[in-house]
Amino acid sequence: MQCSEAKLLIHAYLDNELDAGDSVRLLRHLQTCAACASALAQHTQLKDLLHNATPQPALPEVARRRVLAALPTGSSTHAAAATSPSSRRPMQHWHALPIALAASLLLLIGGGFGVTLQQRASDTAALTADVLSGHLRSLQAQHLTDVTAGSQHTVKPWFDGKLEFVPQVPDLDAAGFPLAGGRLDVLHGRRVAAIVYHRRLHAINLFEWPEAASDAAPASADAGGGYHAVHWTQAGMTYWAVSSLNQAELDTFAQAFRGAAVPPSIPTH
Amino acid sequence: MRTVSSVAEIRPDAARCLRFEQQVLPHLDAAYALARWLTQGGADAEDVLQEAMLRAYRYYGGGAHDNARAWLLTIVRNTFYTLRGQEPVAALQDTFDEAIHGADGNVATPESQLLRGADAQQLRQAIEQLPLEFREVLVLREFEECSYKDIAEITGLKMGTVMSRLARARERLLHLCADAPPGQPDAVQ
Repeated sequence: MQCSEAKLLIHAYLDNELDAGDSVRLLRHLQTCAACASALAQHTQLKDLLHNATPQPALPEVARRRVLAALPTGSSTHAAAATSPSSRRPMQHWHALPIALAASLLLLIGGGFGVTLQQRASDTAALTADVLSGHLRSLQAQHLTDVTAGSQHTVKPWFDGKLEFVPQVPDLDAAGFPLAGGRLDVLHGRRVAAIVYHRRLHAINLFEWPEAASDAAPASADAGGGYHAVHWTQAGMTYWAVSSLNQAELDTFAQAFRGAAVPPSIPTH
Repeated sequence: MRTVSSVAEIRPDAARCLRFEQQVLPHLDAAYALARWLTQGGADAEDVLQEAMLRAYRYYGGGAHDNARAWLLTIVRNTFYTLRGQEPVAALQDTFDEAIHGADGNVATPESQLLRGADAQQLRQAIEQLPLEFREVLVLREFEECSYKDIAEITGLKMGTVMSRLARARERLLHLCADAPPGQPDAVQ
């Protein structure tokens, strides 16, 4: 392989667009050519910078509302957004995913209303579907956040009095997951906190609620359709993160969140 | 070109609205990001987005889209050029040779120093300074995470051209960052 070809192919290689045959030829060339190897290193670094150091434009709320209001679809769900969060009934979005609906119906029929989320949590597939449904719902109707983040110090206190527990809202800026905000959500009739983080253009919904027997390490779950999920339990809380972000980075998110979560304060007496 | 000022004249078929909401609206933020990068961070971005979403609704067929995001981004891109009264620059098809000769050799700076000085602000400015035909493929690849195939579909370029244009865009960025005065050493990990 000539350098002229190599210099072009390193880009396809970095973008995972190079087939196996060309990849082998390229790597062989790089073994003997310091200049091209250096070019690869530089472009690897550049890509890294672009992904991690370049903030993405965020759509201002005012503009978002304006765009949605101009669309016929915006008006029906938007009217709902104007009401207070507690009056918003997620079941109005019954049309969400057929899978989620089937799963929900199945559990209602089979489990009855007294079944706790923990018992259903053992049915991971069903909970994955619920969580994905909640994620898509929040994106479709643009109800991503009820409170936007000035810092974690605006989001966490917002939940006071709205939930019977205090949600974890760790600052994950250093790990590359800026906080977007939070909202109340409902999973199977249970009020949960949804904390929203971003990674590049992906939104990550982190659902949390108190219900767990013992700590469990993060486990991945493919939610289908290009969406991924990861879930774990810690200090009496269950956490589910769902996003279109790839599994590897979502797992990194889970680790970062776990590491940064504040341990519950020990009551003094 | 007449803008779509309202979609009131389209009968709001409930099922169609629903499918649009499920398939297309989730990509609203991606659409805005593209509009912002194309308009170089200007206020135009919101206008482009607004117009693009109205057109998207108007053109939406209601059937299953295997790639609703690429479809929407195509509309955003075309809307941008239309509102500017320009033809999209797909007409400039790079040849393989042009790509090779166009790309300069490695910048003669040790790689450890090359990008260390560039901070987020400088990078953003460097991207905004890129000529449009390079900026759009770079943004679609790096920020919208589109495959070469999708970029080819969105821009109307051949895949070989996508690759060569991307290579040139990145080379230009390296140069722009190398020339920029060094920022804080701690700005880049």
